[in-house]
Amino acid sequence: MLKQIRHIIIAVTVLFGSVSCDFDEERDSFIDSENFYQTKAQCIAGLNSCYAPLLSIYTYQYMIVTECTSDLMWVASGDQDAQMDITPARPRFGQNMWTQGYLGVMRSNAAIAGIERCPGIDEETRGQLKAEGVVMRAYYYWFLTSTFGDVPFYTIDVATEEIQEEVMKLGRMPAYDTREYLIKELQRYVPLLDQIRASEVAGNRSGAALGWHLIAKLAQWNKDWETAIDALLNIEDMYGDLSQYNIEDNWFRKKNMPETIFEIQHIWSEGGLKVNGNLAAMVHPTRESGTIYDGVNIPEWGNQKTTWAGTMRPNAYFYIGLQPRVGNDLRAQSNMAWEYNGEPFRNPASTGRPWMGPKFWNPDYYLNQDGNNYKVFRYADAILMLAESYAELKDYDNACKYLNMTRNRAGLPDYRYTTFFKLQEEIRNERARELIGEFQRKYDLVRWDVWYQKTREYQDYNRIKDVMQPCHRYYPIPLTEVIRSGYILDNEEYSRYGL
Amino acid sequence: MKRKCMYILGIWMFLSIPYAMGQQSQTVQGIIKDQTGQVLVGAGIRIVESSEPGTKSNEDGRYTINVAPGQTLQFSYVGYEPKKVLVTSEQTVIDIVFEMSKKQELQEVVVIGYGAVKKEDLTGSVVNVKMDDIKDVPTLSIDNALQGRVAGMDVMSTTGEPGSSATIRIRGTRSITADNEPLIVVDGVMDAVQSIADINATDIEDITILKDASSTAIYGSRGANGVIIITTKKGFNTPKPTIRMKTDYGIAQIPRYLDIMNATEFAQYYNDYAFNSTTFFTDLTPSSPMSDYPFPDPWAHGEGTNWTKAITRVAPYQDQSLSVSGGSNNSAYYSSFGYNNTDGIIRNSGAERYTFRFKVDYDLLKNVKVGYNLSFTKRDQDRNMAAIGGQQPWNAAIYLSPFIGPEDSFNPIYNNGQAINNPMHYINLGTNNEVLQTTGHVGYIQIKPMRNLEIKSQFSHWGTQTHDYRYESSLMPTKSEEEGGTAYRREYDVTTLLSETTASYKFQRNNLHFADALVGFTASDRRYNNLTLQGKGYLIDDNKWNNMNAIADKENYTASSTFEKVVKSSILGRFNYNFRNTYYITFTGRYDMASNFAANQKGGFFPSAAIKWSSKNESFMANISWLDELSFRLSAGRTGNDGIPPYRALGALASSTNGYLFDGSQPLMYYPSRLESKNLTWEKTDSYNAATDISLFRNRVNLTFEAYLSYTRDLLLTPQLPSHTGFSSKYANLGKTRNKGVELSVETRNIASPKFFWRTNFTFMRNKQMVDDIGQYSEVSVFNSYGNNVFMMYGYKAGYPLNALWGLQYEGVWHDQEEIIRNEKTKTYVSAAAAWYKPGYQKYLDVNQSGNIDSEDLIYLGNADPWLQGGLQNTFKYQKLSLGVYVAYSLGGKIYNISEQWLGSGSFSTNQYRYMLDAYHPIRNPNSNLPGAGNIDNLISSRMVHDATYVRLKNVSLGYVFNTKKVTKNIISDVTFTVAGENLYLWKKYNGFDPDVTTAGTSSTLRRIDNGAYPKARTVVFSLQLKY
Repeated sequence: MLKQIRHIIIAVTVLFGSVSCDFDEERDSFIDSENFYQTKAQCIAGLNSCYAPLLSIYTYQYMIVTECTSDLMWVASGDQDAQMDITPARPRFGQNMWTQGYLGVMRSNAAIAGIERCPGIDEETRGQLKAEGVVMRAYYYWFLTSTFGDVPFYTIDVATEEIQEEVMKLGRMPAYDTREYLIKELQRYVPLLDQIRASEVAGNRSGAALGWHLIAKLAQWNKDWETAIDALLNIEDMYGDLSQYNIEDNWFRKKNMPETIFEIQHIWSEGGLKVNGNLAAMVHPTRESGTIYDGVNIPEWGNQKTTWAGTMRPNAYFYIGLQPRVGNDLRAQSNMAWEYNGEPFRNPASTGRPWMGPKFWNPDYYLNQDGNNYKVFRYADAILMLAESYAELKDYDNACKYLNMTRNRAGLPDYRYTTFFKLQEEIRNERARELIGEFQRKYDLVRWDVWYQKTREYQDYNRIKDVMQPCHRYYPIPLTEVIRSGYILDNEEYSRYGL
Repeated sequence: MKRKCMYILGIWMFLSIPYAMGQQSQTVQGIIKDQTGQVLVGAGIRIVESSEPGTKSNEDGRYTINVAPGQTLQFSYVGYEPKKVLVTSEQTVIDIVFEMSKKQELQEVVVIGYGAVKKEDLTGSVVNVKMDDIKDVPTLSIDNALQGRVAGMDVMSTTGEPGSSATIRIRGTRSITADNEPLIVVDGVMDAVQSIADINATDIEDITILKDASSTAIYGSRGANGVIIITTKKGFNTPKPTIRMKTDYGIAQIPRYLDIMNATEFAQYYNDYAFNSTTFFTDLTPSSPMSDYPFPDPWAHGEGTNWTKAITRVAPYQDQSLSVSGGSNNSAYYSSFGYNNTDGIIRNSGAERYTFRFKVDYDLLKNVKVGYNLSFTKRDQDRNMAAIGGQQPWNAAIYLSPFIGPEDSFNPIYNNGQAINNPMHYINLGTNNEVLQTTGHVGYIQIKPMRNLEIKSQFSHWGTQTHDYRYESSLMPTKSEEEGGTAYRREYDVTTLLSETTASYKFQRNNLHFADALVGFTASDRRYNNLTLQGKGYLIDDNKWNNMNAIADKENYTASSTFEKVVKSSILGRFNYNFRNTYYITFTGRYDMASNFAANQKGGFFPSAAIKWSSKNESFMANISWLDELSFRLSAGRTGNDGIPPYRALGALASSTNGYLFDGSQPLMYYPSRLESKNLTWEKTDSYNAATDISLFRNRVNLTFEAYLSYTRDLLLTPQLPSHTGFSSKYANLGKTRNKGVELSVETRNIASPKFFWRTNFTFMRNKQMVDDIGQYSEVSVFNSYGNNVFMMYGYKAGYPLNALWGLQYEGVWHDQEEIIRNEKTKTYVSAAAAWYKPGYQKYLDVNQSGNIDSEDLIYLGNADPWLQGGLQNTFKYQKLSLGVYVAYSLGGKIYNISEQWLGSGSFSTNQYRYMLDAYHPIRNPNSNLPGAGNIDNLISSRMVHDATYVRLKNVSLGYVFNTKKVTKNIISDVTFTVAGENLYLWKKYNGFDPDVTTAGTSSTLRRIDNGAYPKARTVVFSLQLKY
């Protein structure tokens, strides 16, 4: 009996042993950054993640933020951003920009750090990959500094809790210094990229053109006109004569045309992939019923389009002042619409205010999903930045030369220099005519330090005029972020206005 | 040895007397029952004067024995006072009714963690559920029947959908992110079911609930949420098998509709909207004729579509079960088969379940026993496809205008008209089928190497497979022509290997000192495997999910697979001591190791202790005849909660193919998704319990009163980080919560005669849970309002109850322009936006007088937890008729009617509650404080918060037993007919379907939220039970 018991006890012990007791967790279905970034393909997979936040930034709301709270456009919407009802406690799009912007920064930093230590690539490849990461990082800091002004700046890979603690303690840093750093870094890395037009870069990735363009954007904010010109001339070398590019190729539905420098990629197909935006639902004439769009029967647009109640429209300042219907500007019929195939829309006929035009439309969009690419940066922008930079340097010949490139393409006669201020104003107006609805107007106005005055004067949405304060030139850092940082971050400018 | 010889001698002398008398023997038979009329199987019958072992009652409670007149028969049954009957020569039938005294009831054995104790020796808070009261409840998942029956156990329905399990909180909610559901132990195996719905209720012998730390600390890091121990039936050592067949048929239907408008009323309301509107129908003036209104003749439209009616039906219910049990001298077996089919009251939803169980115990050697237990469950659920309410105002059933017909695919009043998939489209064109298969194998060996020492080793392997099949037809109205169908498949399996070995030793001395000790070792390995496929764009619906590669564009194919593993190991121990059954002390402890915590925080120790004084056993109390028991218990201890997912302590790079588009496709991307958390560990709960057990008047009145206090700390939270680090949160042990409560259970035996029996059970419970600390944040929102500007509706704030409701204070509507102008200065009230400062529009209290609505204007609107809840069971037995009536109640507590954000807000795009007929109208009803038709502001306010109090006639069952032994010549011993009803009547204040609802599911901390819940059915079932 005792023997049997002993056997049984031994058997039990053996069975115990069969259940392993190793308490270390193994990463079976995910990885950590230590064992990643070993090959070029892994580095590219890391870089791919740096682009994803762009899809969350470039939304119809971003259009409201950058265009509809400026002198050019309005949207009669209850949306807080559209009403400029923005305070640290009601940050609205600011929260999105803050989160997505820094998500982009963090991912870019991680990818750059990974590329730097990747053992499986040669130095040339490393340089090119890193350059792409550097361009993306600069892009996100451009968003952040343009939207918030001074913001925390870091380039370290947040890989451990300790580094995270350090980064958490960063407060606002001068945007000027941030831009200086980024310009220098870009100047070092952009030449490593293939010097080709964006439309020729494989996979619609960011390329040298975006890099130079960002240098110029950052330099213009810092009023460093020479640096801007140097960078832009590199773009001119790649793109050549503007007149070879067709105005109508800049319609949002036309994708990756040669003039592009960067655009947000979208796709929508019935049975296929859908990575879409929904801006079209805010720019099309209102669908009343069936295929009737603001009184016009447009069967080719179908009867399944959702048109949101708050529709974006140009301000009177734009459609009467800057780009009237009766003028010779070829771009007017792209930017705005009073009629469709000769049949007038009802609302513009009664109010005079046109709809946004075919540049923004998408005849194929379904419900509220549109597959348009959002135009962000293009060659004409670079040309006008050259004009502006030369003008600021008092090189009026060159300034007029570049200004007339876009004017002539639009069928307008040459501009003749009279005074600096008139030239400056003309370049600014020309940027409006050329680039309306391309996610930049507010940044330009803020950069020129005229945003408050211009918007107050020319914005047609009274709600904005009632509420707007000079501090609204920048978005406040969301209050939740201020609290989370332990008040290291602040919104002093807003406090001054009691917001 | 000497003493033993004396006993034997004494017995021999005693036994020899009757034989010396030399009487003739006669056959005596009878039936043995308890006081409730239940027959007692296996009761012992022996002749006192004989040394023979005697006989036992069979499965019908009947016995036959040969006895000589003048001899005495002794009847005995565990837990009852033995009875002796002197047999006379006339007596051939002796029926016995055992009466259970409190003393004997205390001898009953109660299952606790890793063992069982006599009820009188319990030191912790342990409750045994009366299975008799719930066995006839027509429900797939037995937890739904437990509501209100156990003081301290709050059982709340998730939804009324067939197969949905209840969410259970034992003594409150402690954790914010980790699991709060109690640990479920089936036949000694932890986590042996995926849900209680896996268990066939007729297989359950016993359910025990462990509540305080003293009783749950043996489960260490799993014990903080309380423990439910389920023991299934096993066979008897009787050679003749017992066969039971039970068949239930019934019907279920929706018990009520919401009080919302019909087509005529909605047409009138819409005309008011047209009148109020400043953007549409602007020509209407007070003198406009009816013909100018959008609905010139509202009465012509009649009732219109009652959408709730359209999607619901009268649904059949059936349950079949068959069990066979029996055994031999050294073995016993139990096997059962069950089938349940519960059709849902919403069309095309329902659940089907097959269960099989086989259990065998075998005495291998004199001191060695082995056993094996197999269980199999298959659940096949067609999940509901129709949106009922919630935050889908464009197409959920209750929101749809009565003008939209079941075939319509366009909602003309939403968003200037928009294409919708109405609920009938989802029902007819969608499928969401889930098949769960669970198989458990448990083998054990039990050795008694010496007297009082028992070693038990148990191994179990449990596997559950989940197959999900979903399809959405290409014919869905909102799909574009070439968009095609959407198919989804998921294969998920969880396997657990668990080994548990315990050794227990009993000790007693001089009938004064009693002690027992238990030590044990456990190890478990649990693996989760997941595979999902999703494809969009199937050109033809015929194959559904069965040919997923037939996809139009491979870009629309998404596959994912994951694997997770959790390893745990523990050492546990318990020591009980009592002196003269009067002074008790218990120590319990468990040391746990688990892989899912940070490297230097893997282990944790969870101790507890309890003391008890059973005062009635003191000599000075012996003379108080009306008092049968008075004992006091105190316990304290620490338990843990490890209910967080694995790998959270490790940093990770995640991958995705849903990122940016490069050349028209979305290539792979890898990105940092979380950082290492080096100190992540268990949540800990320290709890204290004080209780008293009282029995009065010959045990006619039994009371248990308990009070408890628990403090939970190191709450696993995801504190929000400044987003500029690129991570907006991380896992950390922060935060504190606190629960306190009182519980009272009362059982009275009002009438206990052999023919008529009436018992009442009453439970009362009250729990208060508070958030003491949530780290650095001022609030954590768990449920937000819908719309462009969201506000917290349910959320945590330090110093407030855990289930707090938040919202704006509704102050009626503006009545005139003067009031609005005055308010510009005072800033007392605030409206949604500039356009809302008009008569007939909603105004709210502007708490911070900012002139804007912001989060500081949200005020605390109450606690979702009830003030008092419990249940009242009355059981009557008159001869062969039995009646059980159960009422569950919950008093106090608040609930948001989320749907009123549209249904009661003046929305012009959805139907309305009928009370909106009394809405503000500038001419007809200028004094109303309800927002005018069309004046919706999408804000949440105190107006939408309701009292969640309810009293429910939850269950009534009426049964009759026919003795069919003679009629069927011993083939069928008896037949029981039962009629049972579930959810028969509900008295409530809430204007939604039912306040007993938690659509947040079982995992969330959030309780009592009605985000478009599946309405609970009213069910009536006829049941027939045969016993062979």
